[in-house]
Amino acid sequence: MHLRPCGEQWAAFHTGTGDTHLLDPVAGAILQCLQENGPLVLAQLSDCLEWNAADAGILAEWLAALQHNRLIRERTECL
Amino acid sequence: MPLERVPLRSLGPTVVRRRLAGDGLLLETGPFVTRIRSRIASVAEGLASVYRDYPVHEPGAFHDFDCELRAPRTLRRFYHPQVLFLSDRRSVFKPLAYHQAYPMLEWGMNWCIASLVQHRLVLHAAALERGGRAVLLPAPPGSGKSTLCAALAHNGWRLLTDESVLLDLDAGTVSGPVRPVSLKNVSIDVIRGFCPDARLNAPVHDTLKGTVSHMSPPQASVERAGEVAEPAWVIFPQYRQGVPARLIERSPGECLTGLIDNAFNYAALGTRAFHGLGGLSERVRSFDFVYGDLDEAMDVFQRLADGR
Amino acid sequence: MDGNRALCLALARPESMAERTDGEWSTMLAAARETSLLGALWQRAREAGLETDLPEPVALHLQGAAWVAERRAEALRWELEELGRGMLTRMAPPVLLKGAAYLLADLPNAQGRLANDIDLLFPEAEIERAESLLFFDGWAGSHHNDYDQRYYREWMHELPPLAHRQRGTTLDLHHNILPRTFRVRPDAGRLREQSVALPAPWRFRMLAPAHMVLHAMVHLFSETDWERGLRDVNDIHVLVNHFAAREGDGFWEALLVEADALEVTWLAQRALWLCGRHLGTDIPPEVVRRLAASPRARRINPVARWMFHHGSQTRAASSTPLQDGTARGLLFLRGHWLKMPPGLLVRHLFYKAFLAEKEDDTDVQPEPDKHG
Repeated sequence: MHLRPCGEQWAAFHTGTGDTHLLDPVAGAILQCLQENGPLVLAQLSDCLEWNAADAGILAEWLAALQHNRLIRERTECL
Repeated sequence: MPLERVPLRSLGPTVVRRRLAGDGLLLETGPFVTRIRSRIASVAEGLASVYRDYPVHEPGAFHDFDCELRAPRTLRRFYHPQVLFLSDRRSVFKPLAYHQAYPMLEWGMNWCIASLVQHRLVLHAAALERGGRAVLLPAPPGSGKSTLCAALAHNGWRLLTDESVLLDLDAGTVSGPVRPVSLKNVSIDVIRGFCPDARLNAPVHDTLKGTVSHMSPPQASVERAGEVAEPAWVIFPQYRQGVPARLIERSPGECLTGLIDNAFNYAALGTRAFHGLGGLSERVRSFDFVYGDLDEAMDVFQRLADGR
Repeated sequence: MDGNRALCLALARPESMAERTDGEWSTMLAAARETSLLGALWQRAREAGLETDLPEPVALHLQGAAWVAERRAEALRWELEELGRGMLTRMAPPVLLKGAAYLLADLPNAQGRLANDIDLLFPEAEIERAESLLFFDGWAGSHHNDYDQRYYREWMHELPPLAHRQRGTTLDLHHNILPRTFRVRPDAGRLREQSVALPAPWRFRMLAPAHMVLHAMVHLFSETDWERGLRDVNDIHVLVNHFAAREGDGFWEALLVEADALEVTWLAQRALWLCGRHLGTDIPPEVVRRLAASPRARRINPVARWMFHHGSQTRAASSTPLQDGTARGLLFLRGHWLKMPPGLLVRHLFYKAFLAEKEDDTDVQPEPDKHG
């Protein structure tokens, strides 16, 4: 996955499927964390979604169960 | 490579015909040289008129593409003659009626760029330059791109291309093959009226796109063919009858997705193309442009060129 | 010099590129384009330190092709990672064949090579289970009519090709390297037993060097379509050079023994002859002598030599189009003849000619007006 800022937004290029996605700033920032460092994501995700620790825990399990690219596919589909 | 190049017009019709029928005519259009072979009279006539000012290389020089137009070798040629376009000796399109040989050559040469060029990102877009800065006009057919492009080419802008923009992914510059502008149906008369100096060849009727005529770029554009430019604007044109000309700003992200939709080899070049187009989208100003009148459109582009 | 000759010379002796005239470059590029060897040429030029000496437009075309090949390799690698993480983890690791194996093993012919499909070899008893499992990863069959199903499942060495529902990538599941109905049937167990695990984290195996080379040979020489023959010849040439340099006489010994064991000595003879003819491959005379002395050898008669040579010329750069076309036609017949016993062949060609849905060439060609 390649990410680059594009104005206010982010652009993501999936090296496997060759798809390009335009992401809003939050999704872009999360994806960037995802790429660089796993644990950060959760904190940032729950922060930006204003979730409590319990919800964040469920999210963590969900994240772990998903493969990297699947997550991105689903996220970008709903954006 | 040592180049022996002379303008096509200096060869004379006999030499042009002989080369086309023999080892091929090597025609330079911007960064590419195409070898063209054909015994079809309308091809020779079309080339001699549309490409009058273009450089031609000596036989045996380097060429990027190899094109041939000929009738299919079937019995059909005796009662319903057709023409085939071959690239590297392989037919790449369905055959067309024989009288459409010349437009087929133009479409075939476009196909060569769209399908065989891998070292540049190729965009389905027109591009024109002014003061070193280029405007890119990416658009699907039917959006009035060619009409707008032809008008601009006669109003202070240098034509880079009507059809295929070549983006150098390392340098970020654009160039074009400076080929003739393909005009269809009512656009032909619109441009004849709007640019009295424009040189159009004899229209070919009943093609899949209706009536088609090719406009030669102004001589100054041909002479500076191959000169690169810095992209400054990406404008997505849309002709709508009776609508006042209007620019609507696009965000860099929307510019990027619009460019990707109009790229021929984005997927083939992958990451390189992504960063190339991403960088371009951030450097330019991008707009959607609706227009219903060419005079108004010229003013808008004039202001654009003055304003930045 | 015609483009075919120039291309072969460049592949065999990259220094020869410095001697090419502009006109020769043009036809050579056309030949390389037709056989998907542009990227390989760029690789050769770089190895020889020539890339800055090439004429500029030539270097640009070669470089562009290398970029595209690099991108294809990147996508293929990802596809293989997906595959390796998916349902196939429930089975013993399969053997990766051809382009994907060259890529993951980092063999010298992988650089600049346009790899498309993924080919996997399974034990025959497990192949349908693999097919069912892969369905859940999104891989589905593309050939639905009864004849095609029967053609693949009863006669071929592979199942009908699978395509990924979202990405369109093609995946072939093989249980052998030659069709069931072919003149000889290699022992696929032998191929799997001697296969080598790819370095972790990959959960794939690849063929042993001698088997990998024999597979490339068998693939070309059982083919009905020789359009990209030169690329296969180049694969064999590069692999032979690589393994012979790495493993010395041991490689040649294994090649001789395994060719006999798989009953494909006669195909290996032809392949090595053609590599020598086109690319001057360095084959020890002792190997040629021993191949010819094998009970499984068959003399290559001069007409066949003519056919193999001309059939593997490119169309774009040919100076002998009539001969090349004839040779390709004969190779088409030969391929079918080897693939099927005569009765079956007649039935198959009859079906393809009259009953199969027409895949008229002109139907797949685009309308020209899409370009302008």
